[in-house]
Amino acid sequence: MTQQMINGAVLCAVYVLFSLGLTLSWGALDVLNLAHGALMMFSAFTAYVVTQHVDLPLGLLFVIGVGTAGVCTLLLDVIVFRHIRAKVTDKRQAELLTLIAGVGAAGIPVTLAVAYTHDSPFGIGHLDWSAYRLGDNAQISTIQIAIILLGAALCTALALWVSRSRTGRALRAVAYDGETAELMGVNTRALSAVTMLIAGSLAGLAGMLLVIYLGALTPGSGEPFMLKGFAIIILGSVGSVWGTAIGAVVLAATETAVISQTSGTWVDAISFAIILLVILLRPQGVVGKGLAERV
Amino acid sequence: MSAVTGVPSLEVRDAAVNLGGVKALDGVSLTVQEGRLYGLAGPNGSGKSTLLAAISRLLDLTSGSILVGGADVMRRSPFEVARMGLARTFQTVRLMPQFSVLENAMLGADQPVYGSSFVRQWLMPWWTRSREASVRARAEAALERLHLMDLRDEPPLSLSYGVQRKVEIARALAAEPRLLLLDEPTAGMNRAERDEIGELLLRLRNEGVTQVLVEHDLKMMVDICDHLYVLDSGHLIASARPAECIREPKVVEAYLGRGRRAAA
Amino acid sequence: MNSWYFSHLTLIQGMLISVPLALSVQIALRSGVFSFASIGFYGVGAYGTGILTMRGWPVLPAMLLMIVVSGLVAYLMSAPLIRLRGLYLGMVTFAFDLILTVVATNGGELTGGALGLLGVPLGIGTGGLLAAALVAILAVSQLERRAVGRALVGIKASEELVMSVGVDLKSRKRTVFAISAALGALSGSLYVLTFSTVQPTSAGFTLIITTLTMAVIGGTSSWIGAVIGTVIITWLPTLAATIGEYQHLVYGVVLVLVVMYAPEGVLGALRWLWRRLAPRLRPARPPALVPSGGPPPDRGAAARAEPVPADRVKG
Repeated sequence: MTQQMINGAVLCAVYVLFSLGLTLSWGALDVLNLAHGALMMFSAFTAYVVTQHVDLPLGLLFVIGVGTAGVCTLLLDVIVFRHIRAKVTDKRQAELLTLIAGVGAAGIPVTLAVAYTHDSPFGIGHLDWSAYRLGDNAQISTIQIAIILLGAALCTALALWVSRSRTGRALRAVAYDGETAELMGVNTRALSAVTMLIAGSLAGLAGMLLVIYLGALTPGSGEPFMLKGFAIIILGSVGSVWGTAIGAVVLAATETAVISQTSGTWVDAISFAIILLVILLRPQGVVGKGLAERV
Repeated sequence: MSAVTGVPSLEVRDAAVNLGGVKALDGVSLTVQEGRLYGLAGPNGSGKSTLLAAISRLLDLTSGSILVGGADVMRRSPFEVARMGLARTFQTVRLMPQFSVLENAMLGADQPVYGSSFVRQWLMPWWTRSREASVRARAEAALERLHLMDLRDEPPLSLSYGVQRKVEIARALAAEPRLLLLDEPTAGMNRAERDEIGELLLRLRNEGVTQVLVEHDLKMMVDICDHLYVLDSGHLIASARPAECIREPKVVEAYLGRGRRAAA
Repeated sequence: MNSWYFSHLTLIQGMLISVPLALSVQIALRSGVFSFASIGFYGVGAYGTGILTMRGWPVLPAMLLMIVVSGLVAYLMSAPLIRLRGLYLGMVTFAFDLILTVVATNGGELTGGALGLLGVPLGIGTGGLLAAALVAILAVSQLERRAVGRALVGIKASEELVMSVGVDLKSRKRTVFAISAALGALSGSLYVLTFSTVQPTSAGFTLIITTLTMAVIGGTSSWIGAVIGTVIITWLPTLAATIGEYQHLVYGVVLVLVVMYAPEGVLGALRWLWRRLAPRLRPARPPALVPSGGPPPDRGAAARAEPVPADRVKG
């Protein structure tokens, strides 16, 4: 039981990091980046490719992995999403085009990874972590502790950033009404760049932590994650940091319970079923308030 | 067909609409008799468009009820009300940019003439061909009435705003409605175009089409309407013949009072 | 000709199989139903027909059964789904596809687990594929004509408008959803009967990318777009020998570029060309912006007629 709670907490922390990036860009910029999952995988993949050629310390690998996802997301926004936002005035149409472009963009890192690894799992080593025993049949490793602490710390930091800082206020203003915010002197271009960079870096961090914790990812790991992130966001309402944390807790707890009760291969289907239920029953989310209140 | 004499074409009973805490309509009751031309006046934000949306069932009432031809329509969908012979135009013009003017008008006649059964479209080409011809005839007749036949093949976005509004009206007329709701049909039109629309509405009235007209042009409404309802802040504040109606103190205040206070 | 045909047989077959699938996405997008569900039903069709024919069912009844069942299931499923706004519908149907992948992986002996079905009896020739593709094209193209066609385009442009002219919006959307699913199932059935195998990943994310690219690159406004897209995507890898294993990368790039620069696809570009060329081909006529009849505009009279200054009325 204790062991399951630890596993659940680690899973939850990874989900939080991943989903926060997704919810930030969606809530503030109306960009639901469907390449978010693929870029999470791509951060670990880039680190893996680097380890194939040179031997770098783990810290540097993290910088490379996180940076790759951050920069790719930023480029995606600057080159593609911004272009769509500027060109298409109908909001619904822009939303769908962004979605389709995201699907297309996701295909690029996935194909690169498939071609390089021949569609097989890859890891970056660093599997030996010291573990501490907790009670009779539970243990926690330093990487697990690190993941849980990172998740909690970054979630808190982001919540404070959005609610307290000047940039955070500007972000909420943009989320509420982009045009007015721009008129009032908010530099929306710079703001959206920062937001996308943070969003992508969070995906990269989730990918790096995941590949070390699990030992390996596959080129296809991103897509189910993408959907889980989506489920978490709508569970907690779009754009809300604490809502995202709650959504992550619910999903991680459910999945951990399911894994302990069944063979584990069904676990994905169950999280997707949660998506169906949430969208059909409470499309406005459980917490109900996002970056900007949506009617 | 609803014309069992004495049954009004449209009846709104104690209608209320709450939009996010704002009472857009509050206890509005009114009756529309068959074959008459009614005006619905009131300052901006008084609930005119909300009332039209509620009548065409695009918006749910918070409470109250609406009867079309004596039948309660609160449980019916917008398309069912449309099939009862109600047609409408929108305040913001809704034309399909990818269609020609004629095709836009045909959209209005499609459902009364054919429906949109997929099975018939697949299996009965001869039947749909004959229907298509009658839809086209209806749409052309409607365009003719608005002097738009020259523009039948143009894409609507290439036309001036006033002409686009006429296409919007033609689409509603192509349905050959018994009850026609017009939401600011002459906004953005010049005087000549307004007069043309005014004459058209009068002619429609004489043909027996019941109409509810929302307009900013109070003079036009006084000139052509049989009866005027005036809304202010979601309340019905006047109901009378147009000439009497605009002299009622409440109406004058609704239109001018706040303006005077603001100017002072 | 003959040797060319045989050396490209797999591509030709693949193209014909893809036509109904591309149409399934195109008809949905054209009608404003942003759904990936037909990809899932592709899997249902492939597995269903494969399992039935492996148990001795004749080909045609097995196929028809899967198509009809998929259509019916989709129709029932659609009741809660079609209320959803575009993006949410897209994500729900995305989730639906992945659930089916998990179900196929966990289906034990029935679905062959992660390896999928192997050794499904071959049950259809190229002629059969061609016939199926033509039937699909005929069915979809008919729905772009006359009142049905106008209603479906209208649904995408403005739901309020089509309801106000009397279109039964919900029923039309649900039927489109069902037809899209049936087309997906048809395509899946054709696939398994041609290549005798199907895996859980066959109907996964890469198929979503490929199909979406086919529909969007050609242009979703007409079945012609879907067919053009299918032809392009099928033959693109053969034109450049290096594409090979990177074909999905190319699809991804192409999809992004099309969305950015030509959201109407190849069809949209052709229409644009036609509009530029057409006026030169037909006899010139005067610009008819002002309707015939009626005196010239009289702004003064209009202003005098305004009983209340506009700035006073805003409340």
